[in-house]
Amino acid sequence: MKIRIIHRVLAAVVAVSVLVLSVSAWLSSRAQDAALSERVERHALLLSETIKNSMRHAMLLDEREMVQRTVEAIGAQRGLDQLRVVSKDGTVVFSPDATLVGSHVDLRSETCSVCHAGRDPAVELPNERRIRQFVDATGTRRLGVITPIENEPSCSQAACHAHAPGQRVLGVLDVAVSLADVDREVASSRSFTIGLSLAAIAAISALLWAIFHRLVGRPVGRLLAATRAVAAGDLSYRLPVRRTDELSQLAASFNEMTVHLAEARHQVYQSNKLASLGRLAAGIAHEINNPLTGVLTYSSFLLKRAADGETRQDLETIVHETKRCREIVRGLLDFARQVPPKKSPTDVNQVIARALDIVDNQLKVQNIQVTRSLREDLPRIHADPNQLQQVLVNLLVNAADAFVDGNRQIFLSSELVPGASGQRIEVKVIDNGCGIAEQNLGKVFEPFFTTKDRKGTGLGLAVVWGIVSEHGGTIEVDSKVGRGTTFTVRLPVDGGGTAVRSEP
Amino acid sequence: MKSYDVLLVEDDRAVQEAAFRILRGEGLSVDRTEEVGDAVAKMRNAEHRIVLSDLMLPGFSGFDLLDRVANDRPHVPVVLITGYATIENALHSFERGAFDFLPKPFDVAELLGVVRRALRADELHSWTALAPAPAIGPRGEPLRFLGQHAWAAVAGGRAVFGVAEAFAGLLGEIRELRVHGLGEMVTQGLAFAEIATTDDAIHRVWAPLSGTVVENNSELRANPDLLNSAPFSSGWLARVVPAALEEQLDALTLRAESRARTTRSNGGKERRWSF
Repeated sequence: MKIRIIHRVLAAVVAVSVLVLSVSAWLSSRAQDAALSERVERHALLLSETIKNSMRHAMLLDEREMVQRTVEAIGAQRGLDQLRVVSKDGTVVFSPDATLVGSHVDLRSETCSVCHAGRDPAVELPNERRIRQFVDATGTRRLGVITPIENEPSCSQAACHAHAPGQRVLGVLDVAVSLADVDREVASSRSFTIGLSLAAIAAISALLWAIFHRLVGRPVGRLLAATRAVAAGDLSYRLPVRRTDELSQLAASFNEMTVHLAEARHQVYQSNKLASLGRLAAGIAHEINNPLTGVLTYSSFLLKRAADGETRQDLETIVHETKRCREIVRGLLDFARQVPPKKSPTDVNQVIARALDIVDNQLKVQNIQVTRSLREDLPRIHADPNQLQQVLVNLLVNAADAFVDGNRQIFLSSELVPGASGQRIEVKVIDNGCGIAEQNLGKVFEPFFTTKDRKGTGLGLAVVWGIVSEHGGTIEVDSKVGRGTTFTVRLPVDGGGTAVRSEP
Repeated sequence: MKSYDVLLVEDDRAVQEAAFRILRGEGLSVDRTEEVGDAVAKMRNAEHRIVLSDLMLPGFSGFDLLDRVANDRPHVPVVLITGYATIENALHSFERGAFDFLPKPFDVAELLGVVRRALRADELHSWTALAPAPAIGPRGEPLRFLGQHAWAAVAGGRAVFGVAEAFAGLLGEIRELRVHGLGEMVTQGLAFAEIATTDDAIHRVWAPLSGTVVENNSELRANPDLLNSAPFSSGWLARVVPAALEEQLDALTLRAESRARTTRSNGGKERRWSF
């Protein structure tokens, strides 16, 4: 099964979100719980205090009926689960439920043990010990508050003489409120928080998916389609480059790679073509030489003995054509004999100068003006200077042959240009000669293609092509009939190339 | 003992027949065969002024015959007919002491050119005993030889080409001289000059080194006979920028070595035929 990147990213984001949101929800709900509890406790203490105070006056007057009624009235309040006044010996003195009055409470019970844990009951209780939480038989959480009812001078001096003056605590008011409402509130707040978190995670995931799909998924999909197309052999496939991010750079670099791949494929195709042509040439030359020798010797022998006339002319034609065959075979052999370059650090400008030196006389005789524009400080390249010189001589001779009349100019330049795989030295040979017809432009580097009927084997530019590609370079031709021709040779500069001052 | 002008060794019947008839048409006596063993037998039973042998033969090759003749009858000029004129074949034939070689396909004039020079060399009794070429060129640089065929003098990144003993004094009357022109490429072992003579022959000169021609000898153009009279000085043919000097110099010999070979050859001449 294919797991897409976006799924992995989303899984990671969801996991992180769940973790972060859970922790934050837990922290916030704890804080909320604490706040609520404190509120409820304060409320319970206040309530307890209020009940005690509202009973005080009636108790001082020993109006027990009144106290009982007050207790009943208050006890009817919703949320107040328990309300009783217990004397210090554990007898329930007042309760909303009149039936409970007079009943006894176990002093060892959980409620009473707060004070009655020791042998002598405690007489003072700090606030936090007065409050307790417990779960009743029905499972409802409750908050109980015990408020001691202390002896006062007015109690012991009252007419009823119910309490002796030596007593500190007369009894307790035991109030319990239900926490059900609070618990409900907390539960609802918790589920709200969880819901909100889940919604946030869903929203983040959806948003992230959309962004990811747009910024990564689609470009990667296009790249994938492009690599498949290229793998299937379509080297003309190009990717759109719209942005400047890494993926767009990748697309641009992919395009560049495809261009170079196409160039390399073309060069390999040409090289293979030339190599098999070389083998074929050697084979043909071997096989054809003997019959050609027979034809040439007999025909030239006949010609030598022939009297003037039609026969002689015919024989001359045969000899001439046979010699042409011989030149073709020789050209093929020359071509097949191309040796691999012997490379050494080479100053291209020096090679240009030497090549110009070689053809100088010929150019002067033909009244051709040469203009140079050589870039100084060209790095040396790893090349065979003799073969490069041959390239330039061939191109120059080719240019010189392109002139028919008038203003004859050759422009020669060298330049350092950036390329995909490092810098390249670019040499241009530009003439303003007769130009090359468009339908012939694609053929000029093919062996035996020539427009110079009188001279040339049609191998000069094929040799040039072979040398340039042996050097890992490229050669292009651009031409307009009547305007002139430009040959552009580009040679790679090695990584370790050092700049040298070119000699004039 | 019967004597012939030419011993022709060629296994291709059409080529052999054509060459036979051409040479016979020139009034030359021709002994012919198709293989080396038979050629050796013929040389044992008759005298031959020159040997014209194909290089690629069934069984023993033309090189084997050349070695045999160079060893046993060093004064007999051997011309090797090469099937495909690769540089290697040409250079090897000179290294082994061939007078010249004749690349196929050739026409009547080219065949006659090399055969006449070989016969003239024989007329001078021993072509290896021709007036020795100087070891030093006109400007003091050493001459390097492609057999007895051509020389090159290398100095200051330039090489001057000229013809050696196999041409000098043997050409006859020169009618026309064609040399590769300015900017033209020349290849070691392939023709860079053609000399047409008034006896309807054509003599081709193989380049001692590869390179590009930068200058022709205008003095020679005006007076082609300098090739016969001053082949090592004013009769030079072309000035060339060598293309692969280092590796090609090996194929050329300095005259000190060559003289040693000549001495040995002359020594061989003293011996009687061992065929």
